[in-house]
Amino acid sequence: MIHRRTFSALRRLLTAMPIQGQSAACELCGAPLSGEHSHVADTSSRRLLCACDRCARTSTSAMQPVTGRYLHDRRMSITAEQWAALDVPVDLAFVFFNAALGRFIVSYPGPAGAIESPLAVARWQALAGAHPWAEQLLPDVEAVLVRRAGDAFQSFVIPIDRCYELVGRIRTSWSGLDGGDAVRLEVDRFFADLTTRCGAAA
Amino acid sequence: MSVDDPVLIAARIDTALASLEKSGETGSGQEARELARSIMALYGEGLSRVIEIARVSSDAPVLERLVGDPLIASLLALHGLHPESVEERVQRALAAMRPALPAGVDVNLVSAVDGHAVVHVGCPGAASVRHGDLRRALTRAIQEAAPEIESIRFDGLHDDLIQIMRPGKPLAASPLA
Repeated sequence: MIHRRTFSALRRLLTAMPIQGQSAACELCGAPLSGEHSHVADTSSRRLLCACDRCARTSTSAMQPVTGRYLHDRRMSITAEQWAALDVPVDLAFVFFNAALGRFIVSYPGPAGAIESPLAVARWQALAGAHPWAEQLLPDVEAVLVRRAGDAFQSFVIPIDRCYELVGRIRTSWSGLDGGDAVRLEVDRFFADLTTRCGAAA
Repeated sequence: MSVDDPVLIAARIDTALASLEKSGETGSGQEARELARSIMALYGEGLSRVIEIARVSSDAPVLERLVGDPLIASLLALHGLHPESVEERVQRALAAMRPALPAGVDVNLVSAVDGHAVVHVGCPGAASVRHGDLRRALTRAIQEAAPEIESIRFDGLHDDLIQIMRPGKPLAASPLA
């Protein structure tokens, strides 16, 4: 019998997507990769794989190239109630649809990487019902990233590998119990970049 | 070839172990090795029980005997391989408890969805039962049968919501913004 605490910890270890940027070779064909490279979502094992450009262009039902929109504007804000329904203990979260599981997943960054939990359909509808941009979310490869600053909320629709990049940046710059100033700086920098990128894509 | 192909998994293990060896006796390297050893020991113990069960001849079907072992059952549940659904296991755990409940008390599973179970406890005012004891006993039984359950609500008992464990809550729920 595995104690429930151990069970939860092992399950998190099993289900968390690995942090990107650890691989120096394409995980599909083995070709060497440059620092900035593409990713594909392996929808059956729920992993994000580093891929060379050639492999990233090949789409199958099990391997989806991570492409996606960069969307952000003020009308995309969510309400405090919608945020509360996500039930995350930190001020950042992203939501995506996992096609293999057939459900929405809410994920948020923690000191040890991404933490995931399934999101009840009703809660997703409460969040996305009034937002056509969220209803058109591409399964597995696009996510809605929400950041809370006090009473204000910013939402973005972005490729999911960027979400894991953010998780990775938080994990590597985390120190102490509350993350420390380096984390806050890293997160600010990420969002500044994202806002620029979304502006450029609009 | 799937990424879960054992050959590819072995290759990933090789890479990770090689970089772990380079990390020498530093704190995190040592912790990672200790973690890997402990996880292997857990699965090794599970495998040895599988072999033991397969060796012993019995009339009961093998699958039934396998899931009857608490360690094997929880490893299967961990990987989503348990042949019985969470709901079925909780139902069975409650059924097993019924004969031992005080007179007049009955328990029924309302739902078991997304790691959250709702249990209705029929507890007439006259029944002499300590709600705390009953809640603890039910929680333990449900957890053993279905470790996937992370919170349980007992309708009909005082203080009805038990949050067993918030999955993955960081030590400090600090604002990252």
